[in-house]
Amino acid sequence: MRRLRAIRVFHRRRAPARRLSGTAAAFAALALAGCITPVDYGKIRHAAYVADPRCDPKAGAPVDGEALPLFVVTSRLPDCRTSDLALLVYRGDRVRHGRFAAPREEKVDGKTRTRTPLALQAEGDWWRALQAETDRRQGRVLLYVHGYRESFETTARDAAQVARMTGFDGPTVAYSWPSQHDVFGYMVDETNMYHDVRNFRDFLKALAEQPWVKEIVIVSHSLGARLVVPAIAYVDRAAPSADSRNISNIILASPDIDRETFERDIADGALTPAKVARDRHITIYVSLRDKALAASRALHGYPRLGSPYCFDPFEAADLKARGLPERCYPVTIPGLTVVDTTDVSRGSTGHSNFLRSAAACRDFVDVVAGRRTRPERIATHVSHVFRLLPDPAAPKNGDDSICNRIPDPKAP
Amino acid sequence: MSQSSPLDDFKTALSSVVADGALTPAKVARDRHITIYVSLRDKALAASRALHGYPRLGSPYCFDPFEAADLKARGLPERCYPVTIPGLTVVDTTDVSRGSTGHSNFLRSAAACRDFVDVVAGRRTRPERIATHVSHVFRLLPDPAAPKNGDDSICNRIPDPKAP
Repeated sequence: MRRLRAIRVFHRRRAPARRLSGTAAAFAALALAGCITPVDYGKIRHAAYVADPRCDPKAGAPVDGEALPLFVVTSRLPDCRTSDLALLVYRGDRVRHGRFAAPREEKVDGKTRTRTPLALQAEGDWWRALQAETDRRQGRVLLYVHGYRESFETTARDAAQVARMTGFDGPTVAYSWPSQHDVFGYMVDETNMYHDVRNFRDFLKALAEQPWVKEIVIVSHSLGARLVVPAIAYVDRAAPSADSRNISNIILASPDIDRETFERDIADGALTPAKVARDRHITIYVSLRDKALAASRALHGYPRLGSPYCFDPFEAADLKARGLPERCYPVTIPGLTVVDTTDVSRGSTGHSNFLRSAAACRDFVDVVAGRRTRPERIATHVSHVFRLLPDPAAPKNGDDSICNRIPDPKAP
Repeated sequence: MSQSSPLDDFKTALSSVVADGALTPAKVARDRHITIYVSLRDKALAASRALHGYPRLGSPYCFDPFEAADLKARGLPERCYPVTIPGLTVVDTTDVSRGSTGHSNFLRSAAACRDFVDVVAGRRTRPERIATHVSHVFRLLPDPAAPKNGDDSICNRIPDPKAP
């Protein structure tokens, strides 16, 4: 009897997975049918990609900082075989530093293609350039960490958009780890993300320890949150007490982290009462219409932090009975604000509202600028959760201009 | 100039994780030791590798085909083991694999069980282990003197009841 009931509950909980479509269906098929794609080493020795000295620039080698205004730290394997430097989907032999600019369209042999200008730089030179750029402004650095299914090119595009959209008064650093840029590469992305925990936290510690870095605004998207959240806790533990004080403004866009794990651990980790008392804050952008996070939930079995899905049907029924939307948010934690973008969702997956939806972009710009409250946010029954609603005065199709997004070129 | 491959990187990372974590030199100096049982015929780990995209510690699969070709050219088995880390011993049970998945040799294969019993008892070396080209890696081979079908009795395993 008891067993039967358990099976029924199981079926009811699994039911939403069957309604998933598009990306989500591919994702679920991947998990359920065991359709898995091992990483192919490829036909070229990985050492051959990095054999050219271009992969190991000498100290003092000139880099055109005006043409390449953005900073990158990457654990991707570079391809230095030609002067057209690229960052691959493979794990690198070490972490490298470089400079880049927003992707641009170029005509090569009569064909238009998108190219991301990139140069590697000796580590010492890179830090000196970052310091010069930081000192020239307000001592602030914006660190962007991408998520699942990104290439270096898409990361460069998004990091450049964040820099433009926010008008950030300091350098922007993109951290690029070896995501496969493949809808079927989720498990490999997750594996490589975990493999990169040590690389990322070492970089964050080094950045936080620079006396000239007065503030690091950390923005993560999707799986990037699983690098960022533990890395902050690590820096807090590993750095002398004064050193991680410059990490105060943390933004998790559509975070692909287990919601319950986050709730249980965060007050012992990145949001300890002592850090919150010194003004540390986490802002989370969530959406119930995020299909990538719905797929991740189906795969992992439990709700993601970035989607207010109700795992517990009794909690959902209770909310409904009280006339409230059936949205289950993270619990109240001092220093945590949740911004629900469900009603202003954009794009086919709804996974990047902070880059695609005017209402979300405006909120994000204000948060990066350090604002903690906004009249445009609609209060909910929970004090730390706010909803964004469409602005009736906003121009139709105004998302890309307000978000400062350059639409992706149409596929040929 | 770096000549290392991502597999080296993987191994270096493994090495640094282990050497910064459970196998710090201080702990190894105080006699801490890790023994790993691996098998190339482990189907569960092969599936896990396919799922995650990268080799698992418990299977000496060669991710790098150039490393495999190099081993072959040297007349060695194409098995890629974890790098040398003080305090780490690898016991390769590929040749004594048992069961449908080969994932539980320490409970099912007489040769692996005997090794495991000795390791639990605190023994660090065993004459039955076959040295390889890598100093911290040993292979187990079938014992020609062992009784046929003797795995369960040597492993003290009560066979699973037959499905009705």
